[in-house]
Amino acid sequence: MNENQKGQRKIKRESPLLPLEQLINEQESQMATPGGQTPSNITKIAQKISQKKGEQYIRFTLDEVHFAVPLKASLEVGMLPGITPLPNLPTWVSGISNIRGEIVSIVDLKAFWGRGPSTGNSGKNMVLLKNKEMKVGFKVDRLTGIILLSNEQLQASSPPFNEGKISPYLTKVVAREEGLLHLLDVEKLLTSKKLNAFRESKKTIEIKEGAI
Amino acid sequence: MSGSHDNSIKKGFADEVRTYIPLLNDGVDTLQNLPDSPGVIEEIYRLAHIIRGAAALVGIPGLSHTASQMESTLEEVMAGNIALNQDLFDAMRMTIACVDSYNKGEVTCRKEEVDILSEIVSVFRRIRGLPESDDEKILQPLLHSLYDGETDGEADDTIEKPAFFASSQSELEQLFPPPSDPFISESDFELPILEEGAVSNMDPFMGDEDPFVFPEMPQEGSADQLAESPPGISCTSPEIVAIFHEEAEAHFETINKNLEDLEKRITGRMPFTDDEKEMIRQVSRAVHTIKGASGLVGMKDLSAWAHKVEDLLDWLGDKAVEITPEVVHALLKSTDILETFVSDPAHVSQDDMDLLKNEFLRISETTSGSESQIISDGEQAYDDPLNDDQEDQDATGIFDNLPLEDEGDETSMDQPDPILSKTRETVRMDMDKLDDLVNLASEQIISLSAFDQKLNVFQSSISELELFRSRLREISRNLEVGYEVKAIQQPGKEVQPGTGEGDAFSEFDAIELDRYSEFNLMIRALAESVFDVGEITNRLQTFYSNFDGYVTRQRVVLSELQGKLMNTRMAPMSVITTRLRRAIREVADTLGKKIRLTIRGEDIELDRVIWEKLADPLLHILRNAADHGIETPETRKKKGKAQTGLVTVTASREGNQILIRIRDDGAGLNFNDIRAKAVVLYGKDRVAAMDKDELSQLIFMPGFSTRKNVTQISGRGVGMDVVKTNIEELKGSVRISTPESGKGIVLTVQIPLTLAIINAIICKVEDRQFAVPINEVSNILRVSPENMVHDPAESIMVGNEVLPLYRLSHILGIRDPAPGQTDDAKNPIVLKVHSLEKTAALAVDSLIGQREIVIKSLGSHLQYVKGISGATVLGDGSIVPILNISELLGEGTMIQPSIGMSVNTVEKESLEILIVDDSVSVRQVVARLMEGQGWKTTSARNGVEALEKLTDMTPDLIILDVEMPIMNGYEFLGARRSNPKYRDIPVVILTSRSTAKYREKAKKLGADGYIVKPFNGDAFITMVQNLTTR
Repeated sequence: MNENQKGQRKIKRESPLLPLEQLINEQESQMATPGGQTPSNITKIAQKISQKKGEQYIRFTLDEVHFAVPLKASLEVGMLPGITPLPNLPTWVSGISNIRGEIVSIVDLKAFWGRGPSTGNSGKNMVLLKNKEMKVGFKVDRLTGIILLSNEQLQASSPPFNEGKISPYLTKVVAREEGLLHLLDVEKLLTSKKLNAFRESKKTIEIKEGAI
Repeated sequence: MSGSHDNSIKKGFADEVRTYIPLLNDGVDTLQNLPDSPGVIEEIYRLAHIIRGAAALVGIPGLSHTASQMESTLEEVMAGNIALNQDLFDAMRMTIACVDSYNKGEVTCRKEEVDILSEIVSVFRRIRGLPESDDEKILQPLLHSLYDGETDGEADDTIEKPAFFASSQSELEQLFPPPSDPFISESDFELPILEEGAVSNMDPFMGDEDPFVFPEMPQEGSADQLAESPPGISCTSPEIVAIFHEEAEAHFETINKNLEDLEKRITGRMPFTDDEKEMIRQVSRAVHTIKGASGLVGMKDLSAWAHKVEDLLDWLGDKAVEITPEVVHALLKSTDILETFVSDPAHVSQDDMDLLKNEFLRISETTSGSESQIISDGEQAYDDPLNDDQEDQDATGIFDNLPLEDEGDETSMDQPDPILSKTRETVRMDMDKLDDLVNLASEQIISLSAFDQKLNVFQSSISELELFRSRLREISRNLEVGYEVKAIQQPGKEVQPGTGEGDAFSEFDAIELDRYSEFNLMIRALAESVFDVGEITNRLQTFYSNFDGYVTRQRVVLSELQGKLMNTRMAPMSVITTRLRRAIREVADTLGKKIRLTIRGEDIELDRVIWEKLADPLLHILRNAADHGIETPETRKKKGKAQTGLVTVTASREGNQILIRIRDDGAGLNFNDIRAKAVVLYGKDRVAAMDKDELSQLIFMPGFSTRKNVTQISGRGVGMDVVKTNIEELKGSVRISTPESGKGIVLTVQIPLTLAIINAIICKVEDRQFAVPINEVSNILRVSPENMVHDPAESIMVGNEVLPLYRLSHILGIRDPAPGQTDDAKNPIVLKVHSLEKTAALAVDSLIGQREIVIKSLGSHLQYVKGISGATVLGDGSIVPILNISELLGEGTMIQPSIGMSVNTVEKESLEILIVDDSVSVRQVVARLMEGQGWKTTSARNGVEALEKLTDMTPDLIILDVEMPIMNGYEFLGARRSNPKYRDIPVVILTSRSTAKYREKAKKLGADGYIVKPFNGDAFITMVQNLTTR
């Protein structure tokens, strides 16, 4: 009850925002309460949104750099759930979480890109991305809403710069008022060798043992 | 004729009409009750029209005319020429009934058709007010067209056309008794084959009880014929063959079950009882079905062999008066061949078949001479189909020679089928789907316990509300007693101290309403509100008990659901017993031994997957028993044992384990041989020290065999160790024991009931929980310092054993390997664990207890993590990793802490804050503020509660109110100061008193911060951050 009222009040206050962002904000404010720890199901929101031309992206920040992932590649966004760490894993795998009864691994995107692990108050949110093979939760700093990028905008955007650890995982960079928005290539990220190191390792170990 | 006999079209039409009948009935009912219903007549008219048209099209003139009568009558009704009346309704009902009986195939002869049509015509004509005298005139051409519909000079009374309306194939067969089958008499062999082609195209195996009825129509030769007919072969797609395999498997199960029962019953030559005959008949039915089906999928050899077996079975079922074990044995062997045909057609032994064929002949001759002629006739006809070249001639020969008795059997045999089909209505489904369901049920249990926890919070909120209500009531009553009366008195008299109340009662008019002040009314309102709050509290309490009841019920239902779902994966041992029996039979035959296998506890259930994996080891054990254990009949005779050796397999359930005991009464282990072999392998000294038990366990060692010559059955020495490995893979174990020398051996196989749920010990290191499968832990102990060895490596003494000591915290990289000199490090709790290679001691911080846990994977991303075999989710939703002991203790045990669980440090930065305040809303607001920062909060209602909380937690900061019941903030500060454990936890006072006096007092008592309500969130956060980062 109390939460709902709060959420409604919040919407009123933030009425200049796009309805989309209201929804996200409402969800977030509810999630921040002890009763609603589970991340919101964004596919539902996505259904509510009338399809305009272009594509919808979820925006988030990492160290104040803006990133976005296609809405259709993401399953959920929300507060980072409790993480159970596991041994023998690199620092960029934070551990595993129970997301709606399903065990999902959590990857610290910053550490994955060699920027040092998320500490303190950063990396308290999560984007759950999927492809055909797997689901992975990615730690991010702040979720900043859903954005609709029109086809023109997408076409006008420039390809990512060629160097750096992040660029292989980007499709495009879009210039926006608040700064550059980096669009992530989810498929590339999820199929990257580095991320998939724990899918094949058992086989190689078995072979090694067999050889001995 | 051939055009109108297109069966599939008629079947389709019959199906269509069947759906109309209820519609028609409903329509008539509606019309009768509400004659004005719009569109109903039109609908009936439309249906009648469709039936008329379609019936004419598919060639059932009788039905077409019948429907036409109704149609034209309704046409007049719609035109307004005829009023709706009871006669019309009756007539329509009658018509519908006729259509129905046509559809069901109940109209079987022409006379019936004529009767129906005349009746219908006359009834409708009366309704339409047409003269009776003209009926004949109208009827004649109609009846004539009926005859016209039939061609090919079918002058007899049997009209087979309506028969094609039979709604099910079995009805069809009833209508179509093979002896008078018109197709045969017309020697029209083509037709049935075409139909079969059509049927098999339509998916022949999806039918219910007996999908293979069709091939029976043209007598027993159908299978062979089919093999020739192109459609029969061309349509054998891999899916169909696969379905056939499944189907056949089910039938083999029936056959084997019955034959095995027979095998048990028949121990010598004995008269054939009805029960046994019934068994034979069941077998015969199954063989028959296999025959038909195999013909359809183009396995003509199998079909031919099945036919031969069926002949013998039929003869047994009908004619035989006696039965001998040899007969059953022959039947079992023929079944083996049938199964080989299905599973591995390349390995069917022609010799075996020839031998058996002779055996069949011998049986039928010796058991009953008079009937043998028929059988041998059949035999001759069927001897050759096995030979592809001669098939053509045989096809015709079959029909000439087949004994007629078979026909009768067909029909009589098919009758019990519906009952049979009911008992084995099953659904085949993907294992994954089932697993999904099981998982969902487990999820539901987990989420229910989350709900349960919230419910407890709800309950404590209610009791808190209750507390506040009584406080409020107190205040309200005090107000009432102390001030209300005074307030009333004021307008009149002056209150006299001490006697004020007494005076008030003397003044009667004092309670008159007009003397009530605003204040009085407010007190009244307050009292009412208190009462209302009480009401709401009670209501909430009732809700709570309701919820609690629902949750309890749901939990019961859910656990039952989960149990039942788990059960669906279970299968009785009988799924593998056939294979076991066959193995024994084969070995016994090969070695010329007489062995009787008894299996008990066939209904013991285990996960089907486990049975499949268990089959090989069990087969191996049985072969061993038959080969090594049981002696030849001569030897047994000499030893004074019965000639037939006994092997017993007993399955039983003990606790959460299944025990399978395999016992034989053979020679037992030859310890001299074992000893001799062991000396070769291990040296004399070691063997001399071994007792019999240890020696007998040697047979599980790789490469250990006392056999001098390797045979096809056993002797290579690779067997028993594979058995052991396989069983251990299933988390089971195998033991051997020898009751007495020369009295055989007993092998005991232990298998846990399920692999998905294991018993595990949950232990704790720092604040992390880990699960260790209980079958890897043999002992739990606390080690005293004198039993610890630090050099060269840390190890402990347990009894006489020295075990290497591993600290879980170090292995997992949670704590630095630097030897911490805490109490726990000197005096650790240790799990004695054993992996494949070694036994070791594993030190943990504390133990939580033993649980049944559901093993889950680590998710789609982390498919393999060294040292972790999976994870489980506890009732509160938290995840506990399951340790893989052998991997953890394997090479490279020490893991660099950098890649270990360094996340720990990140996690630690989440602050834990204890909020102590008696106001619910203050607690909530503060908690939300803190949790917004990602910090964890715990609340307490007063000082005493806070102290209680402190006994099992150490928060990073305490937020403290001053005014609280039971123990106020200042008292709490005092208590904190006196306890060294809490002394260093920073405390922030949160109060509405802003005066310096209070501030000073708090500071003196040791508070680190002071915030005045209402507070500024940011400033508060900054203060908390400053205080915690000191």
